[in-house]
Amino acid sequence: MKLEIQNLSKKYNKEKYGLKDFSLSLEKGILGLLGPNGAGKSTLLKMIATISKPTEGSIQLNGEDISKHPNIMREQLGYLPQDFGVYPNLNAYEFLNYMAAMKGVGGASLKNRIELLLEGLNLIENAKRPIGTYSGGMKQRVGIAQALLNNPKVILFDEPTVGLDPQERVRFRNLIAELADDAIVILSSHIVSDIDTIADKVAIMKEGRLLMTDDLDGIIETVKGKVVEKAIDKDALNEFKSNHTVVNTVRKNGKIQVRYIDEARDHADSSEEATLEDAYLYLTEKN
Amino acid sequence: MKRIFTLVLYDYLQRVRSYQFLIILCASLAFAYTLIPAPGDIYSTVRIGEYLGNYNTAWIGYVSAIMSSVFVTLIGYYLVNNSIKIDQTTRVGHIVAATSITNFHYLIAKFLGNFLVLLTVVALIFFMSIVLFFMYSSGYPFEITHFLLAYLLIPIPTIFFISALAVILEVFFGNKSVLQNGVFFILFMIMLAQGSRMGIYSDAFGTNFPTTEMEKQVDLIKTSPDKQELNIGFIIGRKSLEKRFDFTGVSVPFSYVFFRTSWALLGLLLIFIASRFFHRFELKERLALGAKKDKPEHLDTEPSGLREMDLSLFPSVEKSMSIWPVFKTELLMMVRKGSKWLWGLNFAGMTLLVFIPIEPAHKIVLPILWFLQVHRWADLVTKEKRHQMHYFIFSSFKPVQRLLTSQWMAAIALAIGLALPIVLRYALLGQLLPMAAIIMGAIFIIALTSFIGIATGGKRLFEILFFFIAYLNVNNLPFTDYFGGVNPSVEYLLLLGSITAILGVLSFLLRKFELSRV
Repeated sequence: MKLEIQNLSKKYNKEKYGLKDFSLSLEKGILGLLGPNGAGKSTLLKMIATISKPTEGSIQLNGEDISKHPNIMREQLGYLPQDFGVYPNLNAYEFLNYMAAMKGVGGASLKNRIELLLEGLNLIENAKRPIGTYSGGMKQRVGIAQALLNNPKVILFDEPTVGLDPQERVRFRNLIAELADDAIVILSSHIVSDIDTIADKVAIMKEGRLLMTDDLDGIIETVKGKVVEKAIDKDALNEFKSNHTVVNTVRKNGKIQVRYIDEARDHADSSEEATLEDAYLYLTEKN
Repeated sequence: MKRIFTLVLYDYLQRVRSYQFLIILCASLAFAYTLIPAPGDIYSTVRIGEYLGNYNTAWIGYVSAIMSSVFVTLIGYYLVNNSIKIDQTTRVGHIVAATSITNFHYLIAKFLGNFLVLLTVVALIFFMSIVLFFMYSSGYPFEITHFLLAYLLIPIPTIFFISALAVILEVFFGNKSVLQNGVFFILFMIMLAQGSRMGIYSDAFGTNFPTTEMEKQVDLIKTSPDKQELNIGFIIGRKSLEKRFDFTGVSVPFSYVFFRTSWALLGLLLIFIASRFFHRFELKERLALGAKKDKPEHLDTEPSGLREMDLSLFPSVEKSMSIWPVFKTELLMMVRKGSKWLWGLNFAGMTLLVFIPIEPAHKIVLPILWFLQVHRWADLVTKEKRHQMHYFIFSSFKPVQRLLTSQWMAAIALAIGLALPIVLRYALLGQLLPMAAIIMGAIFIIALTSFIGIATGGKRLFEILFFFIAYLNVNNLPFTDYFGGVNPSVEYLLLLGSITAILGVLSFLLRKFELSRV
């Protein structure tokens, strides 16, 4: 299974790009897409999901252009969009049966598969109630269930942890890790902790551009030895921010503990360990 | 005051800045064009017995004003009957509810927004009627005062009252749209009947006084002793028998101005009363209070979380290209839509189709029964977007071919299912032509909603059009007969079939085009 994205662009008008000249090659495993709001993460995922057409460039799945043959992708796709709804008058069984039929999945084993998914997602007790009565977290789990109905080989999760509690987030990460044994998983988020524990590869985006892609260590390498922490006066914070790339501030004993990237000097002996969050903030601030 | 003005302005802009509104304006323009028949046309809109007015400013001004007062009320109500609901579904209402605005001020802002929307439509008809005067009149002077006075006194107070009525019905029946529309339809029929019977003080449309003046002017010139009967609507035929007279306009008495103003003020008073009962977007709490304890309307406390899943235990996936589950679910969603009591009405309608004489069953009961399904069919092909399901649906396998086909099949099955008693009656009588016409009618109306839904991206235009078609159906007008009630001939069926096929193909192509341009 190989997904190749070549010089992909999405142009909204003469000047505005949703995505610009994006290239990436993926095989089995998890790609974490990190970027602030408006970075183009959802735009990229919609194009991979075949619901949006690229203006330029191509997306190939095992050598087949999915813009020309979208059903090749659709047959093996599991997609959880960022904003989605449900038909409120259907219950979870009916909804998943409907979605399975739309995905071209059926047969005798479908009922069993739906029940296992509902059990795993802890929806079985309420599976016969209309989804319109579900809470936000439960609807999110219905969304996850529909994404896994067809045993997908390309899985796209756009901000999937919204609405999940901390415990659920941990279990969801485990689920993604298991799925990635046999599939390409692309996980988009602007929450670094959703990505850093499970992603095999990370892509950092801003304003439609790919800033950097590498494995976790490779990304962190960009700020290694440059992360510094020091306490400053509250009044000096604004001036400090204008002169440094500040990644975090904490109030401590009347002072402000500032964590920042100091590019001028190499702090290899510094006690501050660089993290993905440092690298992400540094890259998005700098570019 | 400035605050209300700001609210009204942005409410109005929000509503008119849509593709759907543009289409509605185009439809209004086409409608306005039909209000004054061209000299050679086979229909008239206002006539007094065998008399029609010559095309001077008074006749064109008053006829178009009278017609717009009645029909903009009928159709325009459906254009503005969801202004509060929009705030509810977009959740803007929750933000509004948390501000210091009073219920009365909020409802006044909504009412004025409604009024401006309808005023835009009336203004368009006003300008179109002036254009028609220059197109059709032969040598009559242009006197704008006739147009201004007619529009100021006839449709404007009417739309003022209807804008208020739309807000009031939303306050009381906002979550039961079928009831809301049903109550309006009954009120509309009462207003129509009262206006013609009881004189100017009970005439909400303001048409009684000018039409009485027209009758008086005809009485002065008529040669026959018979009473010349007033007709308003789209009246077909009898062109060859018509006589012409010069309508000179009306001298407006104070009482008429007083009663027209009173209708407008009555609207404001009713809004003030309704503001005492306005839910202020506390619907969820109200529903929960009204719900039975063992059956909560909402699961506010969810069962905690995601469990560990062992994917190796999952059975392998079997492929299936069957659209039966999609068809079944689409049908199920339509059946479940709306209040359960509406099914009581449907069963009552189906019973009438069995027991009353076959002609009124076909011509009157069937179009009403089908019209009652307007909320089920109006969003047939747009509900994916309305419920934000389109990302799932459009990224599924062959979505256009499989989903659109299933939706058509499900909606046609519902239409034919409801008409089954009369279809079987015709079958038993061996009358295959009307039977085929009903089935064709079912397919036509579904093709129409699909086409309009996909073309406009919403359900409103179909709702308005279907209401208008149903109104003309029960009045036996031949050109909106989509189910062979008035024109039972093979040629007509073929024509209907061709239009249906064109609508179906266009729907399919438009949906394909839509998906390729997301």
